[in-house]
Amino acid sequence: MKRNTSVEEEFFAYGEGANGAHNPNDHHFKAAPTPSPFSKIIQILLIIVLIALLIVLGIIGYMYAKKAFAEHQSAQPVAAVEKKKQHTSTTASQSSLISQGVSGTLSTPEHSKQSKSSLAAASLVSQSQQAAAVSSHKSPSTKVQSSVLTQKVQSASFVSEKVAQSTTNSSVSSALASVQASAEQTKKVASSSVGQKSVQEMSDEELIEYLRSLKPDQLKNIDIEKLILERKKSSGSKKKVAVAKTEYLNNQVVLDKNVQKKKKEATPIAQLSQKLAAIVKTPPVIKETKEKSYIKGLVQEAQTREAVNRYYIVAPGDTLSKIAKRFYGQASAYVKIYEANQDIIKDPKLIFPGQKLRIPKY
Amino acid sequence: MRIVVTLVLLVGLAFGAIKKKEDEIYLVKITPDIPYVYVDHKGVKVKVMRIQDTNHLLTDDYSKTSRPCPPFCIHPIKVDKRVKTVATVEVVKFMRDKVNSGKGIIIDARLPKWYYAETIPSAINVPFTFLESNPPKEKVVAFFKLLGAKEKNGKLDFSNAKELLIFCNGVWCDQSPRLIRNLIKYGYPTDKILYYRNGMQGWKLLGLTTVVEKGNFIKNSQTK
Repeated sequence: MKRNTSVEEEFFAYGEGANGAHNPNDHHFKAAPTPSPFSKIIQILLIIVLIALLIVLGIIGYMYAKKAFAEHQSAQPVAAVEKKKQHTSTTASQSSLISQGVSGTLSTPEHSKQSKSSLAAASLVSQSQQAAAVSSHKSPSTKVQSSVLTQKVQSASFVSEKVAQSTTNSSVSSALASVQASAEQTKKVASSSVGQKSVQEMSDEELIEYLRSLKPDQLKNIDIEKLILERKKSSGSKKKVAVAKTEYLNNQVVLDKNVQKKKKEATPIAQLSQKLAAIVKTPPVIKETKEKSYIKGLVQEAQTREAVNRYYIVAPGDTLSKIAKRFYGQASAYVKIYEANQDIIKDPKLIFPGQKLRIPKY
Repeated sequence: MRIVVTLVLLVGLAFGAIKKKEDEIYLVKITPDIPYVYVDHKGVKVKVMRIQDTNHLLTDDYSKTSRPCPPFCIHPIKVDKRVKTVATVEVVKFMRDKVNSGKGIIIDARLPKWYYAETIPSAINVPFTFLESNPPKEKVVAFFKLLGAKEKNGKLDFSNAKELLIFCNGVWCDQSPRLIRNLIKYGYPTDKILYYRNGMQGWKLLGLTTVVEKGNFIKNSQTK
C-alpha cells in the first residue's frame, strides 16, 4: 500500500511537479487557447476583408485610371497643337521652328508615356503600347501642320531627316544610300499622283506605315502641305460627334433636313442608309387590286398620324368652342377636341391657360 | 489596422456613391443596368432613353385602339417558324451590341411616309413594297450586297450577311411580316432575321426615344 501510495504520490508528485515545473509556460499555454479561436478568426477575417477591399479598390482605381487615360489620349493631339502654336509665336528662325515643332511632335510619345505611367501604374503594358501607337499615329498630322507654317522644301527635308532619325537607326544608312538613289525614282514618286491619292484615303495608321516605308528622299517629293490640308478637312468632320438634341416632352429627336446638312457625318450607317435608299427608291409597281387597297389604307393611316401631331396651347380667354371654331370653323366641333384630350380636360367648360391640347385633324 | 480598414471602407463607399449618383439621374431606366444607349442614326448620335416624366401619357396616334381588320389584324407571335421574335429589351441590346459594331441593322419595313414621320433610332428604311414589286435582278443583288451578301457564280452567298432586326407599326401591322417573308424567299438566312413584333407602338408605349425627319417628310411620300 505504502509503496503503492508512494508510487501514486510519487506519480502525482511527479505529475504535479511536472505541472508545477512547467507552470509559467502552461499558464501561458492554457490562457491562450480560450481567446485564441476568436482573435484568430477575427484576424483572418480582417485580412480577408482587407484583401477583398484592396482588390475592389484596385479594380475601381483601374477603371477610373482607364477612363482618365482615355480622356488623356483624346486630349493629347490638342496639347500637341497648342505646343505648336507656342512655337509659332516664338518664331526666331524658320529652321529652328521646324526642328522644334518636329522634335516636339516626336516627343509626344514619351510625354504620353510618362503621364500615363503616373496616371495608372497598374495599367497594362499593352495599353502603353497602344498609347504609343496612338500618339505616334497622331504625330504625323501635327508634323504636317507644323510644316505648313514653313517653306515646303525646308520642311520636307527636315521632316524627312527627323523621320529617318526617329524611325530606325538603320534609316541613317538608308538616308546615305538614298543620296545615291537615282533621280528617276524620285521623279516617279513625285509624278505618281496615284500614290498621293491613296495616301489621302489612308487611315492614320496606314499613312504612318506608308511614310515609314518611304526613303527620306522620297519623302521630300510628297506635297505634305496639300496632304495635311486635305486630311484636315476630312478629320475635321470626323471629330464633330455631337449628340442629337432630344425633346424633353415626347422624347423625340427631330432631324430637320435643311438644318442637319451641315452636321451630318458619313458614318457607316449613314452611308448604308443612303445607298439603300437609292436602291429602294423606285416607286413600286403593284398590280393586284387587293395590294392597292392595303397600301391605300396604310397611306391613309400615315396621314392621320401626320395630322394627329398638331397641338395648341391654351391662352387666357380661350374656350373650347373658340378653339374649335379656329381650327374647324365650327364651334360645335369642340367635342372632337374634348374627346382627344380627355386625359387633360376633365370638364369641357374648364380649360386653363398653358394646357397643351391635341387638335385632331379629322 | 483599424484606421486602415476605416479608410479603405470610406474610400470604397465614396467611389460607390459617385457611381450610384451617375445612375440615379435616370429615374426611368430601360433595364436595371441600362439607363440609356447611344446609337448612330444617319450620322447623328442619338441617346436612346425613356421619357423621365412618370406622369406622361401617350396621346398620339399610337394610342389609337381600333383600325379596320382586315387589313390591320392582330398578328401571331411568329412570322415564320425559323425566325426569332424579339421584344423591346432585345432591340436595345441589339443597338448596343450589333448596330454600333456594324454587325446588324435595324430595318423599318414601313412605307417611307411612316418612316419619316417617326422611327426608331438607327433604323434604315426598306419599304416592304421593294421586294414585293419584283424588282430587276441587278437591284436585288445590289440590295443584298449592301446587306453583306456576296455574289458567287451568279448566286448570292449570305454567309457574311448582316443580322437584320425588322419592325413596323406593331402587332396589328403587316408590313414587316411581308418583308420578312420576301427576304426568306430570296434566300436570306432565317437565323439572321429578327422580328420585333411590338414595333413602333410597343416602342412608343415605353416612352423610348424616336427620330422624326422633317425635310424628308412630304418629299419622299412616293406612294401617294
